[in-house]
Amino acid sequence: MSQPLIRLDNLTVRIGSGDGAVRPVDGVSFEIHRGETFALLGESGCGKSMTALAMLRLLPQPAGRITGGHVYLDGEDLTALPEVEMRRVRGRRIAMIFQEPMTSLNPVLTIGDQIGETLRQHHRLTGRAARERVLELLDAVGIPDVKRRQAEYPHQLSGGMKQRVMIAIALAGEPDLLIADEPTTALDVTIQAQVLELLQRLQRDTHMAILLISHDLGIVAGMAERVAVMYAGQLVEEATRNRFYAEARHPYSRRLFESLPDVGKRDHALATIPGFVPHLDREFSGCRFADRCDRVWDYCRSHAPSWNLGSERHHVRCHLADPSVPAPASVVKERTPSRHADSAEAAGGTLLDVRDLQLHFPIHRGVFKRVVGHVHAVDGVSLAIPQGRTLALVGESGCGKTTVGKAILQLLRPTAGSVRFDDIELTRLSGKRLRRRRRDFQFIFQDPYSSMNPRMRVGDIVEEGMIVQGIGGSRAERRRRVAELFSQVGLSAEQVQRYPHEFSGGQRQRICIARALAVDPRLVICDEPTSALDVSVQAQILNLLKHLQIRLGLSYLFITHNLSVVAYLADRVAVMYLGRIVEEGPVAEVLEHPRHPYTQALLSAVPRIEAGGERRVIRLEGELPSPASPPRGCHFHPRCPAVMPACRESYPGESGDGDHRVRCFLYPPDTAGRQTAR
Amino acid sequence: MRVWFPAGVLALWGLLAISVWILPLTPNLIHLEHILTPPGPGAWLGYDDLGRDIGERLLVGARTSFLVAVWVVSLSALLGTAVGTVSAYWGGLWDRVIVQVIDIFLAFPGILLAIALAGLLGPGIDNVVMALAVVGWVGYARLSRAQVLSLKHREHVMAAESLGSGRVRIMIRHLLPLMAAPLIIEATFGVAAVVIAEAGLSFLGLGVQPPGASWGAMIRDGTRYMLVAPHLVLAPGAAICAVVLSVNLLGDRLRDRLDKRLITATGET
Repeated sequence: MSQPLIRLDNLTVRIGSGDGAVRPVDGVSFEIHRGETFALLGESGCGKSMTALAMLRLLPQPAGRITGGHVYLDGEDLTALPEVEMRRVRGRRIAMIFQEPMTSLNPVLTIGDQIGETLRQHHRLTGRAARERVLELLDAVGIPDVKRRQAEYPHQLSGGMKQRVMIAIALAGEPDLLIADEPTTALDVTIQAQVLELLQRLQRDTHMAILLISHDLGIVAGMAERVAVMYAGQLVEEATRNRFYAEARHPYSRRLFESLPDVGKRDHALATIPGFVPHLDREFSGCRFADRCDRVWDYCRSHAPSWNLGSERHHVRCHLADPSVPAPASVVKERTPSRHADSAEAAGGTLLDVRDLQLHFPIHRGVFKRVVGHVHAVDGVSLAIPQGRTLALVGESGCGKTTVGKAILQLLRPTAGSVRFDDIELTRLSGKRLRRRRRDFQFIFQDPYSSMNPRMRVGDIVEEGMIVQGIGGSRAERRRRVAELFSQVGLSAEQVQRYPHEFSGGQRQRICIARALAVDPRLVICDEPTSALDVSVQAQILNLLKHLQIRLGLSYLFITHNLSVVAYLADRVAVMYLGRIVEEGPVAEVLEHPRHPYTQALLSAVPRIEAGGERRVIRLEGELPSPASPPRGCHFHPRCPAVMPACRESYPGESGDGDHRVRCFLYPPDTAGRQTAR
Repeated sequence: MRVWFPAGVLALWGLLAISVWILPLTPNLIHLEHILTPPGPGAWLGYDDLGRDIGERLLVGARTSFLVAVWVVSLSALLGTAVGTVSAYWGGLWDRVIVQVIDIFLAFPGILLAIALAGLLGPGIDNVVMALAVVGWVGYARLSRAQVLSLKHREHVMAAESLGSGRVRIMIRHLLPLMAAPLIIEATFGVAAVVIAEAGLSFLGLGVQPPGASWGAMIRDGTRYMLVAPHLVLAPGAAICAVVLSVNLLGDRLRDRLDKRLITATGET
């Protein structure tokens, strides 16, 4: 085997000093070869990013420092280099792209200048030569119209374009190793597919190595050759991609797989990992995962597992993988996930019926604030949710799905259309009568922290709904009910006196769910309730939502961009594109046999964890157009792979059989169906 | 040091202001034999042009400025916050009118308006309070309006709305507690401004009327004898200076503290 490009040897990082010091990276060793993609997988707070920053010696100063181990780049120890030499490594030998392209670019420099800076620094390229190289690089990362674009500022670019620019800056130094820290987490799935494909193509062309840091098992499956799982500052498993996905051996890795929602697990509760990542400020005597492990036995708490070499270079840090440690028989056997109780009642009548909902925001210009146009955020959406069922509303960011949710609840008043809830027309209600009605439908926000008043105790937050609705009886009774709700969502009743910032993300979302439940709603609109959470925490919240639906007969409108969550949770799914629903039907039908080209592309862009299997990604060109000036005809036609002349003329009418409706010219419209001309 | 010195000065100010009701003071008693006597035993700060004890008059002046500061700041903060909050939360025509009113008040030199008002209402301490409050509410209104405009689109406000909370409840429970910090800081600095404004109006003869004592009036009386008896102006001048400096120092510290708490409370998401 040739010499590795980069080799980490027992790297240890300490942040802070004295008793409060934490070791986010604690003895990490791995190596990456030229032209290889190595993935570092793990949940937030496990030390992935710190490892990358330590490799570049960019730890937060002055608190962070490398206290042990070495980083060898081509045999040269980076930890021993003077800072001046290190600067020649950063950007030139090792480049990094970050999670947030929005904040990683300098807002007052044109993107051409920002790329030119790297060229000047590392290649002494200036003037004409530099300008030509900038255009070349922008072209290489797939930015159209490079001459004009290179003179633009970051705010003029979309998120996906910015990430491309970040990649161009990283490439400008012609690095041997590219560290990509969650490069697509902030991007939509179709844009994510574009960026990942770009990275793969660039790797083939330049033969650089990539260190991919991600929490997404699907992305890693599609990109990496080798995978390492990190937990609490240590690697717990390392293997080739195929081996890892075929047979993950560490209980933590296995749990990560089991907690992923998908269609096959619909009837079961998802596996969850109880508890939290331990604080890294203490010495560990046993396994760091012991407190959360479902296969723990006494030995795990007293003896730290060693780095066990398995066959085919499959390393695991677990006693179960160590042949010299006999595991008790009770631990070895497989566990089966618990089944959800069957839904008590069949679906009732229609609870929510939305027809032709429209919401337009006026655009004001000039001194007199004249209305010069409208943003058609929601442009004729119809949907229905039966009692006790879940409808998922799917689409990319900016398609208007959150606005639909808020318009249904009259948090934003619709411009036109009707919203009938239990045969009451909500759009005509106002003032006190609307406020009284609000107890029947609740909203769960994407970011649980910003949706809670930071100056209120969580008990008061949950109680507030009962107070304003005048339900729940006396103060003591309300307090009892709050305690009950806390235990219902899996929190301890002693925590009611705390403030929101004392809780973790998953706990905060539980509090928000408790707040919504406090008024006994019948419909809950969940707006991406798990997208800010880790996979194992997401599983807990999804389990909770499903459990509550079965127990309380709730109806959900589940707004999300995550199709595997849809597959797990929803009964029906509606796909939204630029303010309109393009396809709607039963979840199995739509996900298995998508009809609309957009749905097909969306589904194909979702990274999958099936090992090895080559899949065909339908790549969508370009990005979501502005809802202020939607394209003529079918909104999707500029990006559609199956575009026809008719698509440019008018918006397609509804077609399809009774249950599975689609709006596309590929399918003959209903003879009886109404054709919308707009 | 940076906290204890200003806090001590302000505590002394408040204490002296209150003590005026308790102590057997005779600020208006004229000692003809002591006219313009410099500080010495018997009277620490000397006597003024009419032979009155400057030390005792300084205490009475402390009460005047303290009362005016407390009244003006509470009145204008209450009025301004109420107007600004309601205006920004309701929006629409009402808000546009309020913004215009605020702009007009801001465009007009505040102290000039106060002088005009105090002149119109006639001299007297209650009229000074009124005049300064009428000028002073604008700052609080503008600040609270800006705060509400940025807070009212926060998700926790929408969450309260979706629970069915009424507007008044949302304003009191979900908006006011979050804008308290900047308003408290603004009010602290407001105290310094009011002390100076009160001294200014009294200097012009619009505030406390003779024989009542006020720091501004004492300075006015002293200016005529500045060359022969500088202690007449030095004592009230130093008092104003110490109070204003202390308020500003304390306000700075307060801002650092409250802002820091705000960062740790919201930064940990």
